[in-house]
Amino acid sequence: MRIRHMMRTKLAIVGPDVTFAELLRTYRDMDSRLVYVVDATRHLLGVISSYDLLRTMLPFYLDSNLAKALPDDDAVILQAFEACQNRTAGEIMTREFVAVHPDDTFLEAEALIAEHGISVLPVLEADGQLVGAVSRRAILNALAAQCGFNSEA
Amino acid sequence: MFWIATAIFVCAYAVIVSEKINKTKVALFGAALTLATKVLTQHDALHDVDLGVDWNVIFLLISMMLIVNIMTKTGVFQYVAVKSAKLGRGDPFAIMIIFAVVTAVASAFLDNVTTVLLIAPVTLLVAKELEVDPVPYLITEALASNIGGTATLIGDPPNIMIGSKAGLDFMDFLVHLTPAIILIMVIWLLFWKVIFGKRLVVGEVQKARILAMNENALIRDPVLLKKCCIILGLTILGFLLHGQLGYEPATVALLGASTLLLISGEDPQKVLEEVEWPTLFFFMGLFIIIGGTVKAGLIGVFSQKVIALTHPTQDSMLLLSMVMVWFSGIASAIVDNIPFVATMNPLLAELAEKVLGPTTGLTGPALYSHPTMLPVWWALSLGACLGGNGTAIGASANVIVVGLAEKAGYPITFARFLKYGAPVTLLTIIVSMAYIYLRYYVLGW
Repeated sequence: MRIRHMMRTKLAIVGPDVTFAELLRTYRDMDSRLVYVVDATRHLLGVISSYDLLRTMLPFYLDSNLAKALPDDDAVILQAFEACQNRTAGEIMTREFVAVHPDDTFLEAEALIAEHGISVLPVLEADGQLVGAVSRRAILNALAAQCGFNSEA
Repeated sequence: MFWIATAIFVCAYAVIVSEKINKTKVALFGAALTLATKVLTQHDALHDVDLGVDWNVIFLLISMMLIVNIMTKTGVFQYVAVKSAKLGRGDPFAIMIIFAVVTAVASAFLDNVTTVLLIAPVTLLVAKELEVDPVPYLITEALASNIGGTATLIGDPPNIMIGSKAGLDFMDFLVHLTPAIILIMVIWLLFWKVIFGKRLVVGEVQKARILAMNENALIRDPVLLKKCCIILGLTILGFLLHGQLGYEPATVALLGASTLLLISGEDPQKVLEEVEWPTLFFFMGLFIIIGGTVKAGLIGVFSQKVIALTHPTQDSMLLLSMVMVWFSGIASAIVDNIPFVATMNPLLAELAEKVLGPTTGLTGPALYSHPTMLPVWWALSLGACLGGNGTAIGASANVIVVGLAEKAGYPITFARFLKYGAPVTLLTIIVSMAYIYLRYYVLGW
C-alpha cells in the first residue's frame, strides 16, 4: 500500500512568524501530534511537537530535580509563559525531520518510524511541498487491516 | 632530534592556541608523532615519570571525577546552592557573595568546571526569580572557582601537576597557598562590594520568591548522600595525611573513588561514561609531547635562558619568583594553563638541578621541594591559576559559564568578561606577588 492512500491531509499548519502564544492555542484546539511550519508555498520548514513547546517554556537549567524546589503556584508558570510568549514558530521548530514521499510504501514508513522512534511522518512531494502526514496509529491500523482485522465501524 | 621535538611542540601549541582543531586531537596526534619520530620511545612515554605520562595526575583526576559524578546524583549540590540563596535572605548582593564563597570552597576540592556546572543552573534560576541580570553572578562564580581552585593540591589541574612534579603534598599547599587564597578572596570581595554593593536592589516580592523555595525537596537519595559524605570526608582526611603516611595523592583518591563505587550500587558503566575522557587524553598527549622536548634538550635551553635572565642562587630566587607570578599570570590568560604548567614543570626542575643540584647533592622531588625553590612553585601555581581569570577563554570554567549564559539567552561578549576579569586578575596577581615577597623574602616563614 502506498502512503498516498493512507495519509491524512487535514493538518495543523502555521507560518514561521506565528508566536508561541498562538501556537499554544493551535495545539490545544487540534487532535494532531505535530504542528507543521510552512512557507507561503507550503514547503515544510520544520515541525513543532508538544515536546518542543514544553522545552521552550521551561528553561534548560530547570531540571526535574531543581523544579521540586519551586512552590506549586501559577506565578511560576505565568512567569515562564511571559518570558517566551513572543518567540516565533521559526525559532522553536525542529528543522531536522524525517519525511516520506506519497509514493513510498507503507513498509518504508513503518521502518522509518521504528528506526527513529517518532510518532508522525510528514509526507512531502519531491520539491518539499507538504501534502499530508502519516501517523503511527494510521500505520498500525493499516497493518491490522492487512492482517485481516477489519474495523468494526 | 632537537628540531623535530621543537617543531612538534611549537606546532601543537600554535594549533591549541588557535582553537582551530579540538585540543585533545592535537595533543594525541602530537604525542603519536613524538613516538613515531623516535624522539621518545614508547617505554619513555608510558613508564618514565620525568619524560612521559604522569599517572599520578591522571588517576587523581579520574578518581575525583568519579566521586563527584556519584555525589551529583544525590542532589546535594543543588541543595547547597538553594540553601545558600536562602541564607542571603533574598538580598541580591548577599547572594552573590555567598555564591562566590560556596563556589570557591567547592572548587578547592572539586574540579572548577564541575563546580560551575553545578552552581550555574541554580544561579540562573535564582536570578530569574529575583529578576536581575544573571551575567555578573555567573562571571563572579567563574572567577571564584578559579581563585578557590588554587587553594589546594586537588583544586586545579596545575596544582595537581606541580604537586606531583615537585613532590609537594596536600599539607604543603594548605600551609602555603590556602592563606594566600583566603587573603585574595577577602580583598576581591571587598572590591566587589564597592562595585556591586549598591547596584543590586530588588523588591520584597522577589525576595519572597527565594525564601519560598524548598531546598529539602532537592535531596534525591539520602542514603547515597550519607555514603558520599563519609567517603569524601575520609578522602579529604587521607589527603591531609598522605604525606605522613607515604602515599601519593592518587592512591588516596583511588581508594576513595573505588570504595564509593563499590558501596554506592551505581552502575560502573554509567559512572565511568561520565568521566571527562577527552580532558584526560589531552593531559596524556601533552605529557608525551613535552617529554619529547625535555629529552631533546629544548627545555634545558629554556631553563638556561631563565637562569641567565633572573640569576637564581642557592639562597634566593627572589627575582625568579616575582617574574614567575607575572609571567604565569599573563601566559595563562592567553594559553590554557595546563599545557603552560606542563611545560614550566620540567623547566623549573632542570633549573633546580642546575642551580641547587651541585651544592646540595639532592636529586628528584627532594631537590625540587628545596626551601629555596618553594616560592617559585607557589608563584607558578598562583600565576597560572589566577591568570586564567583574565579573559573569557583564559580558563575552562570561564568558557563553560559563557556557554551556559548564552544558552539561557544572556550572551557574554569577550569585552564584557574582560571588564570583570582583567581588573580581578590584576588585583589577585598583585596580592599574590605581595604575599610571596612578604612571606618568603621579608618574613622568611
